[in-house]
Amino acid sequence: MSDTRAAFRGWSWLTASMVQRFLREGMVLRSMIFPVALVVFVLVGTVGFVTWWRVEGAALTPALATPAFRAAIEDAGGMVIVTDTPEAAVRAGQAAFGSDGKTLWLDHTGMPPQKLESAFRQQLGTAWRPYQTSDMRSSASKSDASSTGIAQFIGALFAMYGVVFGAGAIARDRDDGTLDAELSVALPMWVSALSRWSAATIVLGLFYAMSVAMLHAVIGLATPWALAINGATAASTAAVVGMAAIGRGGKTRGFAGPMSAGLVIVMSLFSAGLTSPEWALNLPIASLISTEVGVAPLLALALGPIYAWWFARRVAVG
Amino acid sequence: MIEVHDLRKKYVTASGKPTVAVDGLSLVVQPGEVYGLLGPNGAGKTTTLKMLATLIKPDSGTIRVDGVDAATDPLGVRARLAYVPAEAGLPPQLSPREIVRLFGAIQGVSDPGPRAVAMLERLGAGSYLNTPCGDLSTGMKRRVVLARALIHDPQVLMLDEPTDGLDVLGRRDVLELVRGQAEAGRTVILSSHIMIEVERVVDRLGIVAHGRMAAEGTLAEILAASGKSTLDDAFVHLAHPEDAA
Repeated sequence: MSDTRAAFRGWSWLTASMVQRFLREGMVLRSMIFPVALVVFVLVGTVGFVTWWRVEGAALTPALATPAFRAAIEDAGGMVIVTDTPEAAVRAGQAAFGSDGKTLWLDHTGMPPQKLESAFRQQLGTAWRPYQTSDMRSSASKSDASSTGIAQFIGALFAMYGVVFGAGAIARDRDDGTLDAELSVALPMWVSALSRWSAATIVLGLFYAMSVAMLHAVIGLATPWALAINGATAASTAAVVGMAAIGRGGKTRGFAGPMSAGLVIVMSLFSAGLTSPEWALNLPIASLISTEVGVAPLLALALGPIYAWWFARRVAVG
Repeated sequence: MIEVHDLRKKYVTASGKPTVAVDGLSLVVQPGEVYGLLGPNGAGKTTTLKMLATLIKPDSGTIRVDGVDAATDPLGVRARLAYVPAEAGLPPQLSPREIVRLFGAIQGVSDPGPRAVAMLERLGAGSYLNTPCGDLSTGMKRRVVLARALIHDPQVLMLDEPTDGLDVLGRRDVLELVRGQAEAGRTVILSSHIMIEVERVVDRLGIVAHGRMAAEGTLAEILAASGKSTLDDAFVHLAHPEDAA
């Protein structure tokens, strides 16, 4: 069997074994599920709270705010705001409805209950016309921006996990002798490093993709594929950063220095994305900021093998 | 067969101080022989074994395993040997069956699954094949480590402190297993600082002190050379002459 086939066989077995180890490790699994669970909890909780507890404001002119109409609105769960300028109150977001008796201004970013609308119809009869104050497109854009922001925040979280995963995958196995046992078999030494990076990329990428998919299902994302690819790219790159930062370190040399260095690199790249759209598009980890896909994923894919080559030359053999 | 000639290795410590770990060490171990590398902590035993396993590059000197030069063909050397580090190196999330099968598979062993089970059963680990290694005792782990080392049927077995942390029964079991490997024709080299186990299992031994071979030979030869009646006394005399004086 050729060396290349042997290396490929070794890489595939070791990668599968590392994935199995990551997924069986309780702490690791919990840390992966945490962002997904957090997203679902926050979104479902917020939507639920707003649906059940939101008091819709109804802005009325003084002439319109008769005791009977006030009572009807309050019975429908609304709160009456008396103002000379109901349209301004609706546009300012102070009320979901507003009327001067001729026009009914509606804010479609809110969720006006049917009972409130029905009270308006009964009180005003047919001598009015609805007027939508919010532009639907800008409303959708605002929503996209916030959901994209959540996905990017989770991506940054996974990038930090990547540093820990990468560093841990090397240091822990070096300290307990697993790495020495693995490196003493008849395989090129880069195989061990490449399989660890591959496993970290698979596990982090999988869980990040799950987070993005859940966000997309619950609140919708304008560019879910780009976010998923850029997030997986960031996690994969961060794993390389962690593995390179730990070097030959472990419990004898301590973790604080290498981990700090790795996290500083990750945060610096993330900050670079905030400062320049060019970098955001093409630099791994910086691309978390982008909603498009540039060359960052290709660079990230190249970094793993480059690290593995360096590991075999400078790290594995003392 | 292991042939080592004039092996040297220097380190620079974390504080920047150069330290000689191995200083002109030479030895030969024949097939079917158990060779004990004895020495106090820091004598250079582990460094020597790691150089034999091609995990550390020597500064100078030559290593040949079954005629294959470690400098020019490290993969060829690794194909012929099994290195058992002092730490068990068993991921706690995986079971003995999974670990031994993995090492069989990555080394191209055919039917690694059934062979892993057979090897574990032969070494007395059949009752905990599927137990996560994190739940095993030190003695159980040693059996798994040996099964992992032997799955690809190596000609040379190198064990670093194989009985470290074991109780009396566990130590006896492991030493019997080691002896059995030599009787099966394998070349075995082990490092230790526990005299009584070395006496029981080795054919020849080398006492290493400060990276150098202080004495080498059979137990009788070592005792004769040191003028002492026990290996303990001979070891102190040869490895720590300042303490013996």
